[in-house]
Amino acid sequence: MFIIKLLKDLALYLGGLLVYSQKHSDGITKLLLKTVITSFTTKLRLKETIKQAYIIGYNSLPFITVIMGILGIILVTEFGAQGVKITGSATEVGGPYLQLIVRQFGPFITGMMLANKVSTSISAEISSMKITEQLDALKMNGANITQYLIVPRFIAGFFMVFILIIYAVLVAEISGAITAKYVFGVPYEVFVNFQFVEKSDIIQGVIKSFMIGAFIPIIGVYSGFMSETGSKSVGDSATRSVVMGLSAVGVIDLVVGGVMFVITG
Amino acid sequence: MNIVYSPIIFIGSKFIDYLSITGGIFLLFLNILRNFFKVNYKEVIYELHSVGVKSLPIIFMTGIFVGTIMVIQTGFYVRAYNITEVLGWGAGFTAFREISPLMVGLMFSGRIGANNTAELASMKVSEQIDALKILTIDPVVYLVIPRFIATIVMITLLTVITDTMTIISGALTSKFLLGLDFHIFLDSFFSYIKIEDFTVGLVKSFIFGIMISVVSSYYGLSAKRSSKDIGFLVSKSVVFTAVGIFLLDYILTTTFEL
Repeated sequence: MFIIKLLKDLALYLGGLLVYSQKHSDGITKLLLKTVITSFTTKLRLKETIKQAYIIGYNSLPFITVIMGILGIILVTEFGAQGVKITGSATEVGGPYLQLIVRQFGPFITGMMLANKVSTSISAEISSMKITEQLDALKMNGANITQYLIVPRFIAGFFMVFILIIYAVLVAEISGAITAKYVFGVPYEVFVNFQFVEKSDIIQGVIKSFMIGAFIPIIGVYSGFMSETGSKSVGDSATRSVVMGLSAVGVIDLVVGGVMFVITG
Repeated sequence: MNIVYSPIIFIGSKFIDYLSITGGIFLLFLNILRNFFKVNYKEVIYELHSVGVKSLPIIFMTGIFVGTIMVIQTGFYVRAYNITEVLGWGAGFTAFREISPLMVGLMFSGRIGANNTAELASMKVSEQIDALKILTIDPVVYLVIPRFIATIVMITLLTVITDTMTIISGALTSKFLLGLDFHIFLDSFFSYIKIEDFTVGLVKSFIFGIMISVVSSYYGLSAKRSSKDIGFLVSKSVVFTAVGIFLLDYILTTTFEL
């Protein structure tokens, strides 16, 4: 009897989880479609878009530099130590490392970091606008909220995340090369090796980057709009946006990686 | 004159800011250690539930992601060189040592750290923490230490679940995407993976847990009087913990590997 009850509870739990995540992914996709349509049909607020691009792109540069620099050191240390154990030298590490960074770790880790930084700050901004009734004031003045608030963030995020991911790959490659030189004694010209990087790897990285760039600002906005009244809901919406953003980056990475694996194979 | 001084002023003020933040975090950590045994055990059990049980879905998901992604990415090489016998080792080694503690840490910093900061900050803004002080209850003992204990216990235990899910989802992916039998993946996994690979991951998670709980509590308690702060504090605390996780991971990797 106990086991049946346990299984029933588990099924209820999983079902509730599915309904919850289905509801939100539905809402996020609808908001994304609405934003894309609005961004083609209405006039873009260029000044606001540039300001958002500055906030999303330029202000994330030091953060991304630190994270990807450390990631490069960590990965090359791990791979190089394995290479030394198996083949006696770490000269073979460079090619596969660059391929993995382009295909997997560049978009994935940068996406997760930007989900942390960009989604939370967008959702905190929107939700504090909502609880102080600034959104209602905008609506009363006849402003189109999607065109006025969401589209500039979406356009800025879409392009800035792509550029940041290219920058992140560059930083990781440089820090990896420096680590390989000073820890394992591999010269730069041996480590920096483009042989392994194929067209399909670059396509995979670019698709992941654009999808992550589209979803990160939208998730921030969506979770900001979900907040209710009271100061507690600002913190809640920031927390929710981190969880949603990290999950979305994971799902995008998994789906694009799986599809590319099936296509190229 | 201003042009000469302003970059110096900028760098100096940033430097002092970071020093004061790290100093505050260390003082909070010392305070936690000093009052560690005064803790209220009822609160600890409540927090263990809210930190551990409620994070289960996201932890399951993390494990499935890590296993599947590692097998897909190793699968490219396995297919290119036709070396099926190292698939389990390649995916399991990277996942256990590096990726799964890192992902669990990042998920915890998002789920638990952000929640911690938001809760403590909204308590501070609504003057509940001042009310506790008036009742001569130390907020560190009553609010921070239970969260600290719950986080470090649960992050270590949940890493075990992530690792298990990694093996299961890795075996499933290698069966259905690469068309290999279960025993090829599992044989390679169990014959090459050592127990150290598993424990290194657990130690990493444990240390990440300490950092996440102390940093997020520090940012929560540093809220000022306005509710607008809360969202930005959450954002700052998540960013700081992410940098901290990568830095600690670097230090731990170099100590374990070299």
